Amino acid sequence: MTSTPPPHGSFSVPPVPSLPSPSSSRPRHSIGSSFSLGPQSLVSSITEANLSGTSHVRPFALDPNSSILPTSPFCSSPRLPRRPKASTSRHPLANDTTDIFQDSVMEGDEDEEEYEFGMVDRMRLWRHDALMQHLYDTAAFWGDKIVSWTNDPNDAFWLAQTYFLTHQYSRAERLLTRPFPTTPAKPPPAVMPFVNGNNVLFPTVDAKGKGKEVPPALHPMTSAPSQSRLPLGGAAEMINVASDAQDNVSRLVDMSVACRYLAAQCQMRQGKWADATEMLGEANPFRGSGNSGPAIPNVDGGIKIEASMCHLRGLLMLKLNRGDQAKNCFMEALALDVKCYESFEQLISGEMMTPNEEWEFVQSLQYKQQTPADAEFVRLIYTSRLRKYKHSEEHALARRKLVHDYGLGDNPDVLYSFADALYTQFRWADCFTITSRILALVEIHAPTMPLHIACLYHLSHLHSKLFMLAHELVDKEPESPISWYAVGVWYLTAKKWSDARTYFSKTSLMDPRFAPAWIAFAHTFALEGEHDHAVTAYSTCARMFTGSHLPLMFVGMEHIVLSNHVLADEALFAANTMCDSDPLLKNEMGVMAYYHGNYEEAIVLFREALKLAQVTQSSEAAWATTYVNLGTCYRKLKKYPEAKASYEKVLQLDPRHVTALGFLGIVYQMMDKLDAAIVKYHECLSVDPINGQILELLNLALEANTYAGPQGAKGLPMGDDEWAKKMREHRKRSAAPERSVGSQNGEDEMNLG
Amino acid sequence: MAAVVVDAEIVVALRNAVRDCSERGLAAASKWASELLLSIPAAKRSPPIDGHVSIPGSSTIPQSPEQFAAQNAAGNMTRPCTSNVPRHEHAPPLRPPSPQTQAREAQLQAEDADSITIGKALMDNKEYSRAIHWLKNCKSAKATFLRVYSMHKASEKKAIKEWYKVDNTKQQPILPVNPELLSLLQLVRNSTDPWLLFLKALFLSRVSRREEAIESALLSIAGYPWNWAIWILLSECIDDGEELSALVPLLPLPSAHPLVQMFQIKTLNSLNNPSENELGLCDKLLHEDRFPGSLWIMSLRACVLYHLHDFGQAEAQFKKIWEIDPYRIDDIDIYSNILYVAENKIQLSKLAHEFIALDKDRPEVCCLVGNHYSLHAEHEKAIKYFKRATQLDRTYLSAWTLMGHEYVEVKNSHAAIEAYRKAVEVNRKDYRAWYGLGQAYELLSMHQYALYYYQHATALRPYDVRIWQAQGLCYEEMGRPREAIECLKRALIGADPSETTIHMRLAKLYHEQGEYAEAAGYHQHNIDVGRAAGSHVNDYARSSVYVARYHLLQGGGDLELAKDLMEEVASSNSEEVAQGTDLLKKIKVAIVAKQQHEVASGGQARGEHMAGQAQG
Repeated sequence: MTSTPPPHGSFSVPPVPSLPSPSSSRPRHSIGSSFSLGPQSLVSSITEANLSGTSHVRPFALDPNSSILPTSPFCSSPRLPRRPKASTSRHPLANDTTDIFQDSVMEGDEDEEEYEFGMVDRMRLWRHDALMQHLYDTAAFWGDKIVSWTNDPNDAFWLAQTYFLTHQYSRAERLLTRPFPTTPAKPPPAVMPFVNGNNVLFPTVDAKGKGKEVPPALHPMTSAPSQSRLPLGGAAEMINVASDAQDNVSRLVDMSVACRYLAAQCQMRQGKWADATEMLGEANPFRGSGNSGPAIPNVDGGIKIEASMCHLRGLLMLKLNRGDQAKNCFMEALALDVKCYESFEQLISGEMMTPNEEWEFVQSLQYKQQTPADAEFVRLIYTSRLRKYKHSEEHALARRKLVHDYGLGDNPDVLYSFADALYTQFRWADCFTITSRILALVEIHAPTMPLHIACLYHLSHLHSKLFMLAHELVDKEPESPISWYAVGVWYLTAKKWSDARTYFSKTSLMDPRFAPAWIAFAHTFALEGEHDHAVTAYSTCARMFTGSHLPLMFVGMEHIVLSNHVLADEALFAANTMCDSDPLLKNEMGVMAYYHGNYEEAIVLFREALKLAQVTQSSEAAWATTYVNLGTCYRKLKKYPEAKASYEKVLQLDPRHVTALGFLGIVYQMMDKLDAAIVKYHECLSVDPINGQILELLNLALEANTYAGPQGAKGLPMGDDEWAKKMREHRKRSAAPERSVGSQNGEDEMNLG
Repeated sequence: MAAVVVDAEIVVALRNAVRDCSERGLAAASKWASELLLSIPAAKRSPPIDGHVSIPGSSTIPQSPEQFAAQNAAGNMTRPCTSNVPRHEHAPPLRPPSPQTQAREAQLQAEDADSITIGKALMDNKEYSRAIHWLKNCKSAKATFLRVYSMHKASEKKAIKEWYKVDNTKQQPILPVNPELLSLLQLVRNSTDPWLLFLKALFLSRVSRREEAIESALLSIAGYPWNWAIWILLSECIDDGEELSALVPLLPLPSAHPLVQMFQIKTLNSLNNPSENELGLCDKLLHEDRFPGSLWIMSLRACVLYHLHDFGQAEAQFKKIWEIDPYRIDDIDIYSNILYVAENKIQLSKLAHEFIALDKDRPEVCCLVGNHYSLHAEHEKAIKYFKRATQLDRTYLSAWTLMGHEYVEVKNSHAAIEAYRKAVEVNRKDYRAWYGLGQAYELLSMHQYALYYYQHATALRPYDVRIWQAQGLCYEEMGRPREAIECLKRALIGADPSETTIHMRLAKLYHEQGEYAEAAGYHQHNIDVGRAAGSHVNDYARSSVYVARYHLLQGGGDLELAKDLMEEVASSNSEEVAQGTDLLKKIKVAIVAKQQHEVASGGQARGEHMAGQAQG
């Protein structure tokens, strides 16, 4: 383990700050400390570096557009000159990887191949291989030795990285934030000039340009370290140190964006929100500086560290409950680097943007500028993830291209897009087939799981499967919120509302950004008939997931149930401004129009809903209610044929639809088709025998039937005269046996007397 | 009407039908076809020598059996059709699947052959889910048929199980609910294969989309006419005789075709409404040239006779059937109905004992036994057997109806209504169930409902006096004498002229309306009938008193007639003697007064007298 050498009295500490710009020009964010941990210093230094451009040829460390790719393990370790490719001493896999990195990245470093392979370099190799093989303690051990020898910021960064990977966040943070000498303390034995061309992360930004200084070679065994590492300590200690700081001491976080990012990550993991905010800055500090912005591609083909920082800032904002700012951060991150999928994921699965907004945003990202070669693919794969209320052709096209042009027909994410499209069309069975396929390919696919569970919920014959799935998930992944969500949904299918609620709140506790659990939580109230609670719960959802119209729509639905028409209107209107292409929402708005007596308007809305739903055969059943609503509007407008057609449509979908049967009866009665009306009422009662209203309607119809005369409303099949003639014929033919017939009826008559 | 003569083509077609139906698990249709085949004289059945029609079923021939049927059917079509019913212009032509389709189907069937075998075997063993599983990957229409049909059977089985679970509870719906039907329908939505079209029609009719079901059925018949199952289905889709006559020209076959004729008779039988014409058709079908030995057609004929109330002949026909095939159980219930109506207890007992030994698990036999107990007034036992019959076959219409009757017997109107309702749900064409419903509701004093059901029964059977009468009584109970009178008058038209009950009721209604002349007219009729039948004065004394009183006091004016009537009553020993004597005195006084008045104002009085007589 790292052993920090005791502070030595004789060493000279360079003054802090050692930054080229005057300290007065830096805005101070932290009042309590004389140090600003904020990133502004970095920005100013990068500006400085860019402006001066004299002593630093490649100020990558301060370039937020770069990634940490150039400092990746294999890059920063020197290569053995003319090392055979298939070295038996190394694992073939590692060998390959190394070669790739070296060949691709180190092309420009041919001139430095004459380096001898020193002790430090060998240890660097150990360190990196140990990291790759997850031998973190090994890596930390050797890495620590390297840092002690070299005081190379690059090596310190990798040591911090190693700590981070072993979850030793505070240790990593200290390493990154403590004063760090910018000059190498003591060269390791037999080390050749080690400030090689690979050292791009730390271009040694000290003002005096000591970077290229090569200290005299000393034997490690014989000489004590002339300049040891600066002591680690808290802020107070640092101030003490700073008081007699020398010119050549700085902090790693001030020297490199990557270090700052790593430090912020460490602080995040430790829950130090305020520190992390300070580390990252409230807003993107690079914004507006010369070479930052969405249009500028990053220099090395990796992911812009600026974007990563923005993303981390977004996560931080979420932790601080500043949703709007979080959204902006994520959008910025994604705009800065389209490859930053995590920001995309946060934006999309966190329902942060309204459907239109997200469509516009994702389409307008600078794919071409940032990744000229892969622009189309990135755009397509992102497009396929968006919500599918609108632009269905574009969505279909994107999916087709992904399948045919890119051969991703069996990729879970592409399959997910298909499943999502089907789910939006209420084709649960089809959707379920695809989600099953996805889960057969990969056991866990985060976006698919809620969809899969929802399908299981909707398809009643699969409830036992849901039970199995929930059990399996809880067994395998008790730490994952989705497992408990599945349990909750199962209780929902079993109509055990309070149990379901318990599990949904457990899910939201585990992951507060998991939208389905919040909505389902509110659903339990709604289903139980606790409409006020439901409204509250839905409102919470609406606050948390500002991009989704669904919570607002559900609020509206609850208000409709509660007959709060004004509030319902408000909620539905708000939902509609967020998403004007959800058929369900149109249906609800139609219902409101109906309640306001605007039947014409309601008809338009219901028709729109059906059109938007792109009703297909297999999804039709889900829209039966809308057809009923439509029919009822027609009925109110006395357009009976249309109303009849509408109700008949419902009955085609569900021959035992009580409401439609009853309403169809009413329509028949209105059309003076008493007989048909009575038949329909009968059918209705055969499904629901104790429906009071239908019974009353039936009695009314029967009474009307009484007044209509002996043969009911429809009369005899033929004319009266014709009938009389036939009746006489009948009498003649069957005169004799008629008396004796009785059959079963005859005997009944006697009994009935 | 030129009847189509049974020739080799029909023989081949029947033979194919036997095989095709049984290969698809349509047991009843297969049985029907083989019975019919057997009824053709053996000489005709032997394979033809000219080689034009090859032997069906032999594996060497390249043609598929469907092709045979198609050729035969086409042959029937091309023959000059001398039917008396013109074909409708929109009737689908007889159109067997095209040769390409058939060739492809044959090839697919050959590929699927082994799967089809296992599927059929599993289906025969009622392992439907397994059959579905093993037929899953088959492409041929036949395999698809077996698969979808198995799915249907499996879901039906499940639905019925669910239904019986809630038996005797309020939650039990009238029909078992099969939630799979719509998805099954989706599976065969776009098919063109006649067998799959049959399934489509079946599912459509089950979700009460009757028009579409009929359309599919017609298309299926056009593709394969000799599948009797589709004809039965079509017959179930028809609501009344008029629809039938509208449908016949739409059939892809000429109306003289034996299939159409059989369909017609069968349908009218199920409508309870066959006529002499159908009897004639039966006789034609039983002609030497056609199906002389067909028990099925004979049985059909017996049913026609039964519905025509010609019980003697019907019984004779049934006896003939059992002479030929003593173990035939089909239609035994009809025979037992005849015996029941004839109150032939001994014969019914004998029959019941014979057949219960033969097979007690046939619904028809249960029904027979139920009838037997009913005739012995053991209603509880009868109910038990009818219930058993319905459990064996849920769609067994007459068992439901008879069960309703038995429940009425034991005054359990609610149970009766339940039973009748189930009967009506099985088949909306049975007037007896509707009539029973009316009676049960009348027992519950729910006259509006009763009236509605009577009207339904009347619509199905417009010439039934009893239903008109019941309807009249209903109106009377509801305090609507006008309608009551109308109904009773209608009943009167069809009634026996010597009938008196209706007349008396009409008289009473008219009397309550204050229309005495009308009332007196009906009473007079009663008197006339009584006198004509030579019955005793006592039987019509009340009518006599009424008529006399009418002529004396309510403006009739025919005092002589009144006097004659009252003299007769006064001299009798009826209850009305006192009234009669009293009236007689008054009449005599009135006559005297009138004579005096006549003397005073000659012809005028005579004129009045004439008018009074005319009115009377």
